[in-house]
Amino acid sequence: MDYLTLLEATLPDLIVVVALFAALGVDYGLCQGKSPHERGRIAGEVSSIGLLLALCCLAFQWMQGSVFEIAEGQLNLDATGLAAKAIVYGLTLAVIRFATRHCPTTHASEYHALILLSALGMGFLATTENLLLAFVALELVSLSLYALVAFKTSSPQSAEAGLKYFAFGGVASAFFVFGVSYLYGATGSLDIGTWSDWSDRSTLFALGLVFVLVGLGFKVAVVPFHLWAPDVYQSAPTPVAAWVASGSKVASVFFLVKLIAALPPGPETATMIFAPLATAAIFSMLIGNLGALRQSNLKRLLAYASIANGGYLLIGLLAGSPDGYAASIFYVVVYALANVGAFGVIGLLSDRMKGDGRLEDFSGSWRRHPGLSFAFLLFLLSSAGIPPLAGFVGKYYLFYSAFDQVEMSYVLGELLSGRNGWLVFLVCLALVMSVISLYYYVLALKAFLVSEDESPHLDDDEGISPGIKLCVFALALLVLILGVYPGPFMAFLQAAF
Amino acid sequence: MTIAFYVFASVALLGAILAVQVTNLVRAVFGLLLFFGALAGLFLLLMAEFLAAVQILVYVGAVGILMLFAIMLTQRVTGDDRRGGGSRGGFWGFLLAIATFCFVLLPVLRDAHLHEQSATGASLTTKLLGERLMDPYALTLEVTALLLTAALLGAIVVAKGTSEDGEGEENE
Amino acid sequence: MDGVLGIEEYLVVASILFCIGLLGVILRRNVLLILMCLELMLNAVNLALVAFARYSGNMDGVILTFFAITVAAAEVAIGLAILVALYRRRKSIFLQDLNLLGR
Repeated sequence: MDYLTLLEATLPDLIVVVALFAALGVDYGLCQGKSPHERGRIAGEVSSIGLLLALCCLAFQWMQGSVFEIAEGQLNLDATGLAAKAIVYGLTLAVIRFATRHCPTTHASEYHALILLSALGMGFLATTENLLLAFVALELVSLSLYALVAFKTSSPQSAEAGLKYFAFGGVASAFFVFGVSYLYGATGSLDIGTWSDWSDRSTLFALGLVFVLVGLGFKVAVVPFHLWAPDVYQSAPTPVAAWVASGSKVASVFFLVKLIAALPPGPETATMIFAPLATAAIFSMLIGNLGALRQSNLKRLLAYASIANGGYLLIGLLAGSPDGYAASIFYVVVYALANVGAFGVIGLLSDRMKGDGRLEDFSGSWRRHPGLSFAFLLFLLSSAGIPPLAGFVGKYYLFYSAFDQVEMSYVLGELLSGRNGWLVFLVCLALVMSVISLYYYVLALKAFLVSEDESPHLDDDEGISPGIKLCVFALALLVLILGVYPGPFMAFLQAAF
Repeated sequence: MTIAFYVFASVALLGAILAVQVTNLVRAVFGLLLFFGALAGLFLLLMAEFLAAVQILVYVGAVGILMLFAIMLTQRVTGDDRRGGGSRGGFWGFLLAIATFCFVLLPVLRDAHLHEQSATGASLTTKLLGERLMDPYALTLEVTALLLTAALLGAIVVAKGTSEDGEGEENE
Repeated sequence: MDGVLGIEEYLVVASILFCIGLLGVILRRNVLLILMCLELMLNAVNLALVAFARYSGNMDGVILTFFAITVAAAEVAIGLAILVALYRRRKSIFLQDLNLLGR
């Protein structure tokens, strides 16, 4: 193996690694007398610089048209791979900006270092095609996130949420590695790139695949592996909740799509996992949307909404066409942008004042923070699927890709039987559920925009630096741009499959 | 060979059942240690002698001791688990576990080609393991290093907690 | 290698162990025991992996086991840290005492 190629391929990641150790080192070496807030700010700056450098490096590699492939499919960095990494690091940058304002404990530099470590894991997960590296990267993500969720050690809820996340995550990763062992036993290889020239469809393979999907389903929070989501979103530090909702989801979906796209061709493999995935999608949409209706806590509401979104994006996978895969990725990226933004605004408005995120806590935000509230409006409307925002386009692509796969027939019985019937039913359900979701999104917005009296938990402007505001508006702008002008990005994704 | 397999397998099962069943936590840990040891024996039977050694070092050594420490830290010293013996949602739990078991066993029952496989010659040497780690899997090894960093940082921060009573933890 | 033992014996043992672990995770109410059962599940997988590696003559399974052991040890570290943090706040590691969430 050529170690120089390896070095070149992982250069952006190495920059991030250096940045995270620099953040720790600067904090331990130079900042001992300073206040936790100041130390958090410095660690955040160091991490941001590292991420920016990594993004520049990625852009440079992309412009050069570099393609890196590390043996056994460990890394596959073509244009899409580089883009996936750039998306992950971009989201990290936003989360780090939000995290600098308020660190939940005195361990400011470790907070940022753990976020960077999980970002590294997500970067590898999104670009690998090797089950072994995927397992290790997934665990890197999970372990950092367990610690981050339990980070607010002064609050018992945080530790409890961390435990819940850990227990569910532990079982999920046991299932994942069990699935990997069966897949390995069936195919004799850990590289999913070799599946295409392999035609033996054994029970071993099917079962392994189902177990691997269980492990990933936990990360994406689809029913029935969603139970941790509301508690974790509610009790974790808000930037961490944003991170759990966006980064780990994006990375898992990238890997999930690769996994499904790599399945050996033939109708058997498609049907093998179709019914379980479709059932999971249906129940995710139902439980997510109906659960969100009952929430009075904004973070829990967004958690249920994210379960529902997990259901939507499975539709693209179920469509099983390149368009469907691209639509799933497009949707999850857009969803992640909106969610990071929404959680960011929630954190900015209420974290320092110890608000626990109930809807009333945000009443009157419109007057105190008009700009941030407007951005929040964009994020939520995008998630609800209102044109011309990106969420609408994402849903359109998803549903269109599913309908594209339906073999048209004027006989109703034929139209509604088997795979066709599932797809039609899924899209119809998703449409109905999107309408229902409008209700709770509007309910959340009402607290922000309409209410006259100001909540005592509302934060003042102090400490919201222009950099953070810039970050919120950049996210809002992206959501708007991807909504109005989605063509190039979508075409780019479609070209990958 | 066969006898050794059945001995190790039944010891492993016994240890596992002990670990899950017993109410006294310290005894449960010893059940777990028994299980880890028997598993190392099974690895030996599969000619993975290096993994057997690692299994004993990491699990019987480090993890077992760590568990015992955790019991001492949280349960007073006796480790009596007064209330933990009962089950919650026992029926559904059993149903789920048995369903999973049936699923997991399906390939063994259905895939004929599994039965035709026989053990290959002793090619899985430790030397080969080391070479494979360095050659194709160097990147994975690096990512594992990051994972250990994350575990180290996370465990320290979470277990140490905050000092709400001032900045009393300068000695990181 | 007298040909009497096939791979399926190992797989059956691994499956039983995995499900015992799963059962423990579902049924036990002590967080420490849940942690132990998670380890049990991961170890059961290791057995299946080494068996597959042995019977296919392919090294990757052993390598994966090697990494799985590392990962499992790291997981124990994090799990115990969370447990200690929880115990410090709540003076209990029983699931039925953990009731602050969901309100």
